[in-house]
Amino acid sequence: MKYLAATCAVVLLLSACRQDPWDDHIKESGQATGSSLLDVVQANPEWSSFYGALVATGCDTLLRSANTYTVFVPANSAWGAVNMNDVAALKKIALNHIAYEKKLATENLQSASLQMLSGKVLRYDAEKQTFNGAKVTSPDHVASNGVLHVTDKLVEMNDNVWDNILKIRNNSQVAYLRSLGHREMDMERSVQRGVNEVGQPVYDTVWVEDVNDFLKAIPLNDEAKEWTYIVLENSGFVDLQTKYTPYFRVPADPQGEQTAALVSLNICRDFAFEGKIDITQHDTLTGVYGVKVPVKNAVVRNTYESSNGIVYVIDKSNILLREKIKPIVIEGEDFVGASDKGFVYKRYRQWASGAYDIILSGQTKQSDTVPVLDSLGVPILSLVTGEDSVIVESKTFSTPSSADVSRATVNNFYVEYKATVNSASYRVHYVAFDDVGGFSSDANHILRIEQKLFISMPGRPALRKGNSASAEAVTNGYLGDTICFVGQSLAGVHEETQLSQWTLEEKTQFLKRPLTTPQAAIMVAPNVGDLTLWLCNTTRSNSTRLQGMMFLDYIKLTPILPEE
Amino acid sequence: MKTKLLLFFVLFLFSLAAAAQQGGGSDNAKLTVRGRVLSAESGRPIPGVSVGVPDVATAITDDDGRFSLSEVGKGATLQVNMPGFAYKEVVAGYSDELTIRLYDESFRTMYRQVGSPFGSKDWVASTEAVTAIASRESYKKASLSSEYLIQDEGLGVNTVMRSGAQGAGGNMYIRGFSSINAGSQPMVLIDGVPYENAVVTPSIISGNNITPLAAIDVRDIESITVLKDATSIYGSKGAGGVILIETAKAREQVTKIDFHAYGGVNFQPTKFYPMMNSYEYRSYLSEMLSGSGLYSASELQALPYINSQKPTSQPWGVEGNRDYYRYRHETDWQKEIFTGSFDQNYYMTIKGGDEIALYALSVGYVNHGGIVKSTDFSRYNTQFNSQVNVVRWLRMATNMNFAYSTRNLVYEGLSPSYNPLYTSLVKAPFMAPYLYNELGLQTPNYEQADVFDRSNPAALVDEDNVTAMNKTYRFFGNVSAAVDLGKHFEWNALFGVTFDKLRENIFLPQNGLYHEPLSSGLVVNEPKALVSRYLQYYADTYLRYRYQLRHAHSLAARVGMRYQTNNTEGDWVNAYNTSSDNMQSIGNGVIDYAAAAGVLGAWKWQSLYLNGEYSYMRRYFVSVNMAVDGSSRFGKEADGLKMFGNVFGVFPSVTGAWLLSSEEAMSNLNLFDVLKLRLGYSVSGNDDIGNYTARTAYTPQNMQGYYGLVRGNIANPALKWETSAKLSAGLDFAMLNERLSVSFDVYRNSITDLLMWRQSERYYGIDRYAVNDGAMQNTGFELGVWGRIVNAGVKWDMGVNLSRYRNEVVALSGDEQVDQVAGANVLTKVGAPVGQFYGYKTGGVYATAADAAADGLGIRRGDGSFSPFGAGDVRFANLNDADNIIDEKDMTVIGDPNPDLLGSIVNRLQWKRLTLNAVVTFSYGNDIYNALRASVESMTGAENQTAAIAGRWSHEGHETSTPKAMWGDPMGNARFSDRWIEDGSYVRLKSVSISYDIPMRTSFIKGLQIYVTGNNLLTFTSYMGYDPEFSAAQSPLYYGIDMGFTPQPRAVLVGVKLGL
Repeated sequence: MKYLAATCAVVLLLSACRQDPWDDHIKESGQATGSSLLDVVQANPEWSSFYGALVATGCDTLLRSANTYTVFVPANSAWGAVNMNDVAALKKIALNHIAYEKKLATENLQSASLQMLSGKVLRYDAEKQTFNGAKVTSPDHVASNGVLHVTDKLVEMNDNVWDNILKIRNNSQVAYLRSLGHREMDMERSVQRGVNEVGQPVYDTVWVEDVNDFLKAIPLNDEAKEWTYIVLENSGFVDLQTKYTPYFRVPADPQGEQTAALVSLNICRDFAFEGKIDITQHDTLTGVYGVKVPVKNAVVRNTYESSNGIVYVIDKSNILLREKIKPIVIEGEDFVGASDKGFVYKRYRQWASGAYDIILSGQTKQSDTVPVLDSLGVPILSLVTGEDSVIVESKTFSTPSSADVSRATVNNFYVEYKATVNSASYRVHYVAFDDVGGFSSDANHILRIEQKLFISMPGRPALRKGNSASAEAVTNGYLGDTICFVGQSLAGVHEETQLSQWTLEEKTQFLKRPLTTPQAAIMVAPNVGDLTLWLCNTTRSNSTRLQGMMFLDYIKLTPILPEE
Repeated sequence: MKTKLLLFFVLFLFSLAAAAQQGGGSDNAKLTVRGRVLSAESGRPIPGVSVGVPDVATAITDDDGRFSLSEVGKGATLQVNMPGFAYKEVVAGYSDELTIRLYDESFRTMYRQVGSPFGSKDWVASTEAVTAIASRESYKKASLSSEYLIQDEGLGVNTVMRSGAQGAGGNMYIRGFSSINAGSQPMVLIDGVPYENAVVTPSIISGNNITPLAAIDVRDIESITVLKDATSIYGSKGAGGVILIETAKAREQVTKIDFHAYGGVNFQPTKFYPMMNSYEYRSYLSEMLSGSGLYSASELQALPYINSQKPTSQPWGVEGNRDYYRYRHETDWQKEIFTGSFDQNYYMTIKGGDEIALYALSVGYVNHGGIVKSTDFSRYNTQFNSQVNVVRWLRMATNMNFAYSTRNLVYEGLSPSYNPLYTSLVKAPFMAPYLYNELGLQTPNYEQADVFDRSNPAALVDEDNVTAMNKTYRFFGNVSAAVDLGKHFEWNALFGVTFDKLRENIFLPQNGLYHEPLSSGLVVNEPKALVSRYLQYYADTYLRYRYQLRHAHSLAARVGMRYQTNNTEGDWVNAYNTSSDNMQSIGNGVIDYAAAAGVLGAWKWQSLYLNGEYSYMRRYFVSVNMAVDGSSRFGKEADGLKMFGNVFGVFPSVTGAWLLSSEEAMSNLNLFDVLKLRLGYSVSGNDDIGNYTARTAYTPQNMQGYYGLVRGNIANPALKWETSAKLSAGLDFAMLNERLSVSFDVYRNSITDLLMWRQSERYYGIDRYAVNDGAMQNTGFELGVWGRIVNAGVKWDMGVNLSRYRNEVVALSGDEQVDQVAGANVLTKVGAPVGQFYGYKTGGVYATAADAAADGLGIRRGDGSFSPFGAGDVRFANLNDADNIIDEKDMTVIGDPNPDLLGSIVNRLQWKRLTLNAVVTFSYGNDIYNALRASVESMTGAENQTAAIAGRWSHEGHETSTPKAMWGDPMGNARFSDRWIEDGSYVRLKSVSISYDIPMRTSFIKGLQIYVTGNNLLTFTSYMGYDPEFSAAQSPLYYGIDMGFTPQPRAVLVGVKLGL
């Protein structure tokens, strides 16, 4: 029996001294920094002010959580000027010292921009070892959920570009920007309570305050991006308003209020630039909408350093009209409609603008005067006129060449384009390059490409098919149904063709004759807004299947501007 | 070398013959022998003992234990028989009076019976190295298959359990690795019929192994014998050693009924991987993701598992982080998947008969729960054995076994989506098994596959959710006849049939699981099925000649033939995307995704054999065996004996033994009760080279919807068996009236013609082909010490089994070969053991940038640029000084999975009616590549990591052994290095049981025993994984690679055995 007892004793002894190998393995893995960032802050009496601020503002739970942070701890000496009882201000300060993610000074702090919990994005200057104005005196205090860097000062707290703009008083530009602010109904949060007597929904409305439409396009308050914004003094602002106004006339605006607002919006947009720029080092800046803004001779009245960039107030800037009112190129392939889109083919062509052009699948029958040749190939003299004897010969061009493919058979087949223009006069050019091999190889029969361009002006009735004379004619509110722009080019020739106005047959809208006045080559847009353009065939014939082919690489509208 | 060996043998045989001559001289002297038989325990005389030489003279002891025998030849061996006592032999004539001390029948005597290819024989007369496993009390261990018994006492057998999944069984390596790429397992014969112990079609439940031996209830086993050498009688199947299993048969005509029952508990494991908790993991994840470049700082803060804004209920709905409550938990996922479970078993056996026929019938049911939820094993089994004396000259016997078993399993190994064990480690601890809604209320719905594409471990182990079931049916039966043909001849015939059918059904639902997408589309759920069958016919017939001359010369010779045909078929279908998780049959899957596959196999084996056994004066023993084997697997042009248009292998062996203790000089020394020397040389083969490797095979190929045949392999018509030449010497002795017995063996197994796979050139279109190339050898020793330590009142027996093998690759045409296994590089190199780990050496982690710069090491990127190691990176040893780049030239051997020493300690204590059995197994000096730990400490992605990762390098000057966390591990800090190699030594209290025989006075109940058993109660190891004992596959290339297996369960059970 005693042996049994002895065996049991040995077994018990062995099991008592059994050790978990994991204990050693985990111990070997180094001192896991068990304490959290908050513990580390709390443990150091030098940082008690910061700790106090954390506790007062409720940020302490953050620094105890498992998410990783980089914390800049200002030593107690840095807190002299801070009112520790103003919790709202204190919270702003505290959040401006805590960044997401763990960034070690020895590792990845070097090139990092840090997203602070305040929303600001701040940068560490590795060379000077400063963080937004504060010197890092003791880096890399590691905790289980991040790292602490000690600074000698509070990290500077700048407002962002937008907040700084709004600070500027008595300024027309700023007043305009401010005027864009309004409040919006939050559709997601508003709960429908019922419907009114006319059946419209009634909401328990939740409002979103301080919505500024300008920021939707150019988010000057986005802390993650950097901006430069220029505010003009009132005189400079008025100068530009005067300059811009003729080109931004809004349709149906007798008082000119909408035009004035559009002009102001355009000026405001032109002075927003991406990135933080020192304008004294530049002659010209290019704005977010591509407008070149000269700043060489500008007098800087005021500068606002901002957390996400900089704001300047300058006296004036003479933006050139040709920088603002630019030629408009409408790519052929960007058509928005057609009589039948199925016949309009988008082709990849290396020579084409935007790498594509379009071609309309159709047929053209063309008559040409051809010399009569003898068997040796020498022209025969006419006994009547004494000149070379000629005959008239016709040829049908078609694309695609295969006979069994259906082609467009609509009279006045149109391809529709839209373009936004200023209230200005434009010259109209296009490239309609027929590179189909057989269309230019026979010297006696080179395809003449003639195409009509109908245009309707902003704010006016749109183009439509059918008028009193014919159901297939195009109704045109701009030049009337019997005048349109016409382009003429030859197959095999790649060039920009200027379009000018022709008179048309009333019913068929066949080409009659060109107008010869100087105004005939000019398109006058009375208002700012969207044009509709129809490129049409049926220039000489409407016989079945012979209404004509169409080609277009692009249309270019070139504004006619005064000399500056 | 061979001629030297031969010479040695010839000398040995001559010396035997010379000794025989010398012994022969005294043979004729007749004398009278007197003696006394006493109890070895109490010293009291035993009356009624039969002492004598069969057919010459027999005496019965009187009340004083005395006997007297006349006409006994000097040096003759007396047999001492007494029911209830251990059988014994003594040599007569060397002393005036013999004192014979007998032990009780539970004593492990040197004269016990062991199995042999031709029935049982006396161990003392055995010329081979055999290990007999005592199975009398093994029922107390409640083992599901016989590997467990072999592990406890199988001296020289390295038995490694595959996993703790119930019924997974174990791999057995006898005297080292017998092969690298061909089968490495021993041949198993049950009642003389080969028992196919390899699963013909691998389980489609990935990572699982199903042991066919689980079809045999261990209580139906009477004896297990391991033949470690001289297996050439089994010719081309004997190279891996042979395990002979005899099922229990009726020995007497009295009807005996035994009823067994037990019930038990498997405990939930207590040893878990310590993983990071929610706080540590969230902090780690936040750091990993911020360095990943996947998210900006503000995007990262908005992620629902990072964002800490609590949701609030507003009139218009919920504001804030709607998923806040889903990611705010502290779940110990390992506890979600591991569980305690119950075991139960009922078993009854009836034995009996009359002079004509004896029968033994048993029926049983067992159910063992697994320690991973939803897993279990259950089996219905029956065994029927009969022996019939048809007429005086004809005896017949049948043995039949049928078992049906069902296993509910889970995926094992490094399967990130489906193995609950692996998933429970890498799953985010801040998630919960069930979905929490935006108000923080738990819903009854499972969390679905998470944002990191991880399955929900709780959903994986829900048996109502996931199905992974294996069903096996096996019929194993044989009928045999023995015909007496006169005095010397006997004709034996045996015919056996094995029929095995296996079904597997898998359904992996959408609910809670992540599914790897297919190239053709996303996967929603997966039904799968497998059916496989195996049919074996086996016939063995031989003619035996036996000759006995005056008890001095004894000769037995056999000539026979074996024939075996095997047919296999396996068919399986993987289907995908049924319309609902309730539609679970494969027919409901989307037809375009479904993939079906199958294998057919047929092979035949024929063996002609010859056996001769001669002994003289029961002192000198010689045994000669030879088999001539043909197999359909051998190539037609292989190097061998050409007969009947086929190639045959010739496998001879010769073994001898000299029982020195029966010599007069030794006997007079009175030092040894038994002293025996053994020596043997045998050649055997390994035919497990694949059914069609030597033949050209074609496989179907789909080409745009049309099927055709293409070449499936590059045939090698010269391919042959692997040859194993075993040289073995042994010494057995017993002293102090057998209270101490020792068996010591040394061996050298030389294996040639190894089956190796060669890479072929790309333009062949088939990437590899088989050749016989290379050689390796296993050398080693085995030491079995057994003693009765206490023999008064308390009887304490203790056995210590120690063995050691050293494997060495001797020749390889390629000199060295590196295989990739689970992220490890496994080296096969001339002069080194197979299976070595080949990787990088490390020396901690650079604490500072200055340290790293001082070494100046780095890696070469894919674009050729140099990328230096920095602070927080692992300090790799730059073994190739020629450059400062850490690449494969710096790899070296970093570990060896082969143990220096392995074995077991077996104890048995008996005190009155109380019996205590305890088995300790151990392995020493083996390394383990912990692939599971490597994958949960690699810090490559969003997976949870072990608690050691919480101490990862965090700042300049941080002294740690864990590198910094970097998304994707760009510097390769987690590469295969000694960081993942661990010492796999262990000592395990494998089983301990206490039984009490309740005294019974009724005549109805003959015996009633109750017992309590604890299995795997204690394990001492410094290995960090769940369990230092596991086996991923049979190939030595997988040895010691832990891919995450279920640990062996700790169990306690209470049983009762009732004898009627």
